[in-house]
Amino acid sequence: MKTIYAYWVALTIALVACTENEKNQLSDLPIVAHQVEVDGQGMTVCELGLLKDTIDLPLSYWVEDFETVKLDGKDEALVGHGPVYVSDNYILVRESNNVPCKLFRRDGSFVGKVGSLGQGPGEYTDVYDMQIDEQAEHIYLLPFRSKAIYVYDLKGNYQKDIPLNKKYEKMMVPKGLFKVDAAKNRVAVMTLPFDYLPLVAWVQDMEGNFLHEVPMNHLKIRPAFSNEMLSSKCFADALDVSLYTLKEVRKDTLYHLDMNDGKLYPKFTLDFGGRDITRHNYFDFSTHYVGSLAAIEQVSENSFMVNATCAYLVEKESGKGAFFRTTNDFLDNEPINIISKRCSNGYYTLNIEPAALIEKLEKGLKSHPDEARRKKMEALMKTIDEDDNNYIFIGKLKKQFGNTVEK
Amino acid sequence: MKKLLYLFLTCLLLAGCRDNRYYLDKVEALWSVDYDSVMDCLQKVDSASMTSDEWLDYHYFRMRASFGYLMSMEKNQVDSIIRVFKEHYPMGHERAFDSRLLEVVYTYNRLNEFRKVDSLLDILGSYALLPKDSSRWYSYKYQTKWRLDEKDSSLHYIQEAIRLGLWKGSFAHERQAYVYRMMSQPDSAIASYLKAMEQDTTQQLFTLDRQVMDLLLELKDVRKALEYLEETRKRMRRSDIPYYNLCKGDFWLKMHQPDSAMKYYQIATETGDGFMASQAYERMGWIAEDRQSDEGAFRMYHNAQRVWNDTYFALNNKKDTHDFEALKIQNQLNELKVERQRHVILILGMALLLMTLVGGLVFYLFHRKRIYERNRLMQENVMLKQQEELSSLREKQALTREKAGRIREELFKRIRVYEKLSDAEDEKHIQLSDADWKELQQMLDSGYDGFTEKLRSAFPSLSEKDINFCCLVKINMSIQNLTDIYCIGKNSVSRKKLRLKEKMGIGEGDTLDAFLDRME
Repeated sequence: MKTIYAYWVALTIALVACTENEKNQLSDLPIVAHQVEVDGQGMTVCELGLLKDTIDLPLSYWVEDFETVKLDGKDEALVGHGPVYVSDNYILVRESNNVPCKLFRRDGSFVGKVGSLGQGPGEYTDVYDMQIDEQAEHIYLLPFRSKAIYVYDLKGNYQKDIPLNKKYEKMMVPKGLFKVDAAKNRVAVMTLPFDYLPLVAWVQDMEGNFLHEVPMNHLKIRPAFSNEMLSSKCFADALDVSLYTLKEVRKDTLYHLDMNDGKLYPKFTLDFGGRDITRHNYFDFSTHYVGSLAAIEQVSENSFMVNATCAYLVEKESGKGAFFRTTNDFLDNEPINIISKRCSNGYYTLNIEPAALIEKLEKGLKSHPDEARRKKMEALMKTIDEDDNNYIFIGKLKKQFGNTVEK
Repeated sequence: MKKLLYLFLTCLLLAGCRDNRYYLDKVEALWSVDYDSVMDCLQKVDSASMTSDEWLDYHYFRMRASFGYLMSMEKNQVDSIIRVFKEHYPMGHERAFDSRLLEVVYTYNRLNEFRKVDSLLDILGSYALLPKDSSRWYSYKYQTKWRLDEKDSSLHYIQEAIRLGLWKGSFAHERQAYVYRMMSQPDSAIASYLKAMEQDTTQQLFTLDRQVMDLLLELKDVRKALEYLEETRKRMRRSDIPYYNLCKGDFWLKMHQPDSAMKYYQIATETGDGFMASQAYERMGWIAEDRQSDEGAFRMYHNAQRVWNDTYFALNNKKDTHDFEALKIQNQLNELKVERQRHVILILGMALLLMTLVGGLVFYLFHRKRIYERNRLMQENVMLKQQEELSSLREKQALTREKAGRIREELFKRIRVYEKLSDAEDEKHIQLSDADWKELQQMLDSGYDGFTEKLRSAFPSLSEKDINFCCLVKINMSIQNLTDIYCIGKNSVSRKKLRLKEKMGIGEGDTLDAFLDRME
């Protein structure tokens, strides 16, 4: 109880600070971060105590457009509201409850399921990370507790494995993020750093040969699947990863796993300045770092409930930053909890059931100030049936937040 | 004395004896507490000396306590129980009678004595608890007939219940449909299912659809069965899709088309409903088993179990979260209550403090007022006393003056007498003889309570002449009179007074006149 109380106190401080001095322009913001050098590379350190302002950054600030895709209504195409991975021509919906991922084209037409439930080749129960490589015409899936990345074609047919345990035979990635660069024959992997694993990150080739390894060191944590990892996947030569530990609360850092030299570079961290550390994570939006602080309550041994969250951003170049709020000004103008949660591979996505969408549109029609948007919403509303399959909203991140080649 | 002793012993004996009613009442009390004690009490009942009341209760408890007891009874014994029940419980006590008989009915049911149940139901039908026009009676009857394998009778009771409007909703028609089905009357069964669906829009709906589909398949009307299934699809919501695919898979399985069945089962596994997915995997396991693919079957069953467990776990998590939130809200409410109570206590405490302060202040003011009043009264008393003293002093002074005046008058009388006698001289001269002086002293002693004696004892140095002079001063003799008496001038009189004052040691602030005036 004391710990939860401490989190609330810290979050309250942050939230109170959130409401001070609202400003609208990033350029007007104070400097909240400074650079330090670590292993010859720069790392940004943001000081929580300097974050005082709160700005409003609607979704249109982050994305160029907001496309609506109605998914195919076939029985076999029905999806839940799991995470979505979008590439230029495809939409991959990650399911839960032992349902395989489902692949759609950008127009919503159903291609097929990717893999199936089981323990055989290409079979899995739950997937943690995924990637579509249209050039190589492959889909990659990394399930929970896996010894390989599964490779499928663009029809969802299993092709082969990319083994992850060629060097450490018994190693199994409990939960991991990865990036495949087929052209360069490189695979970067970062796993939840459970203390019994030999490595936290490595770079290998497609055949499973380890090229670079990053040992566990200080990153190890006690095994718990309630912990999470985040990545924007918007860097060509690096895999950016932020750990999000729920059971063990500690000060963490955003890392880049360089696919060329295999080193793990710390890139961003938050200095709590002596305050109690709350649960937090980071996200790399290419020109900005975005962090979130959360007050979380433990419901049972392995499940947690998020009570309140607070987000802040720091501009990389200037070090200026503030707390910020985002609303979905394309739909109902309601707050978006944490924008980074739905961003990956240069896109912001929203996977929503038709009934929930109708509710959002009804709200938006009542309160949205922009008439043009209201008209669009009205037109969309007329086409929605509660028994439809889900709708996917896709917003391409603006270039400064999306794709950047960084070394 | 002896009589008293015998009486006492008899009472003691009687007190120690327990009659049947005592044990039977104890059985009632112990029924849900201790079975062994119940049986023990029943064994103590003297069956030879039971009243009809006791006989009823005894057999009733024996039946409840022991199934074997009833089994061991002959039919005529049970009949006699029922007869006694009927005799013993006239109209007006139906409830007790009915409940006893119902216990017998339940017992018969457990013993599979359905014929006996049937008879008892007919008897019960005329009593309040289970009259023949009640929904419950018809329910018991149709079930009993069913158990007796009298399907026509069972159906009759169902139909009667429906006709009389005793059974409402889809349940009645579903029961009817089930009986028709068991009687191999699928057309009638289908008609009944359709009627049931008309009256029910709950989750039962698709179960009933499924029953119809199965019946149509039993009738080998595949096309109609498929049409029917497609028809139900139109009525289904998105959340029903998994069930639809499961049904469709079952349809094809019954058509011995496992590949088609697998297709739909596969869809059912992938539409997000864990429970449907689990059943679909199980069916896929059956197919794999039929194909003698043990590994395939094992994988499917494994999937079925995993999906079931995960779904159950997820539901438990949701329940945990729900319970947590409910508990959290309850805690918050309790905290608010505690906070409110604290506020109330604080307010009450402050009010109490305020009241104490006000009370104290009032008490203090009242007390002060009382003291003030008391002081005022005391002062008034003092003043009154002083005034009384003053009045008495004034009275005394007046008396003294009166005395002095009388003495003076006496003296002046003598002076006048003397003046008359000494009219030869022009100069005024009052001469008092020793006797006059003596008389004067006596007058003063009598008027002032030994004035001269007091003077002599207080001032032994005073001469007789001094004493005489003091007497004259005492009676407030004026200076003129003194000059007349002593034939001296006024100044001489004043000097004489001064000399006397010094002789008597009278203080500076006092005069001879005042000193002597004060002397009593």
